Amino acid sequence: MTTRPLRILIAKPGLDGHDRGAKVMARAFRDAGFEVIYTGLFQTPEMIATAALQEDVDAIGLSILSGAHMSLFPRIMSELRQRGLDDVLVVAGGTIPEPDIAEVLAMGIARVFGPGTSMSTAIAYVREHAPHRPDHVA
Amino acid sequence: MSLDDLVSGALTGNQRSLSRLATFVESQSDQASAVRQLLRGHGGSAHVVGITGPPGAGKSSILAHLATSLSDAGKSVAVIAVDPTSPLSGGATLGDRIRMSEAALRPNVFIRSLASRSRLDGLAPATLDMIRLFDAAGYGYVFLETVGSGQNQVEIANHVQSLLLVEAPGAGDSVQMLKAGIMELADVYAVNKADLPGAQLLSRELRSMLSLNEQFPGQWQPRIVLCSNETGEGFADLIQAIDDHGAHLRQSGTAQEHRHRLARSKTMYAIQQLIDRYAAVNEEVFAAVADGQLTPEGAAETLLKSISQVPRPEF
Repeated sequence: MTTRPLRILIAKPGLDGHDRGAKVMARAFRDAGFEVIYTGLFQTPEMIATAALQEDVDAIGLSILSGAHMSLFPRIMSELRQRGLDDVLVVAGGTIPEPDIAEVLAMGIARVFGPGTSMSTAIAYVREHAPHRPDHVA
Repeated sequence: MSLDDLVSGALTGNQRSLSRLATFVESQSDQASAVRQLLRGHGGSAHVVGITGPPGAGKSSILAHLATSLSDAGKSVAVIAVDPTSPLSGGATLGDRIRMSEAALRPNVFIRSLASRSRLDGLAPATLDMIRLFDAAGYGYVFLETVGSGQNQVEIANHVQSLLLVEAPGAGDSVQMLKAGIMELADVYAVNKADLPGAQLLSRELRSMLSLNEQFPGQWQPRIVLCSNETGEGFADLIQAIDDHGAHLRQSGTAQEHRHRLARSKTMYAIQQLIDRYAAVNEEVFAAVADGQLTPEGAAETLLKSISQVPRPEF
């Protein structure tokens, strides 16, 4: 059995042109040995779920600064479920206000990383919580 | 889910199964060999098209157009897009999807990004297996997009039936056209960014370079197509040129020659893999060379001699 790099999709949902954070995280995951699929800006929930499906990623990082997380996240989670991607680890980052976090977690998003989170915290979390798949021995 | 289930899912159009199988294939593990066995006897009818050229020439954008148009015409399209692995961290940024995320929504389009991992020739270790997988799954066109490549990353020509080279204006003068390498090998040349100054000149220079080729009867005449993502011009001609080349291969009997080349390339690569795996567990040979106890040539002979005596399952 060989080991393979973990694959993570970094996605920017919706009308949100600020991708500095997403690019910094994409770079940080790359430097930590992940294969990072970057979707670019303005992705619909359907595009994100399709990319996750076709790329067979272990994890998805959603970056959102538009304030539309409460309407976009449930749609992304539902598109993922429709495609049978229940085992993919989904985390979120950006500007998600504290009072929304409990509800975001209840949607099936594993963890919310707010402003000021160190990159190593996010990377360690994903590495630890990515699903154990038959083809992956880390 | 067992590999058999995944294979039957992939063969009947289930994208989830296909995607999981692609991961197994990419892992180059024992499961990858099992998948290879299960796929035997399937496929063989895809038109495998390589697309290469320098970084930023527009390979992914062109593919987005081609995939969309072909899908509109009822054809199914798989895209295998390779981006470089970091030699420092082993990680990679795979960004080819950015241009293709609209196209990927179509049910008959499947886009998969691959990291180049240990390979330095613009391809990825699992490239051939991945082509085989999408071919078996029934995709009519399988496009293989290389890492942004310069002049001598020519191995792709051994992997595909038709080779498309994408160039854009502004990268050197006509002497570049005289240089050996990938310039000699393409079946179709796309001069992209045709809306920019210099595109017509580039196209003329290409034409004049190709006119110096030796001519044989029945030989394919490489096509030059000007295209532009800004104006949308040229993509229909590009598809026509690719299809014409496919038809030429079938009619001229060069398909047989191509199968032979591909078989050779696959086998040579399998040999290389075997040596790599064996060398990885025999590091002491390299230490002996470093210490001056063995010459590199002597070490190579030692390694190859002992490799033939080891039963396969040991590595």
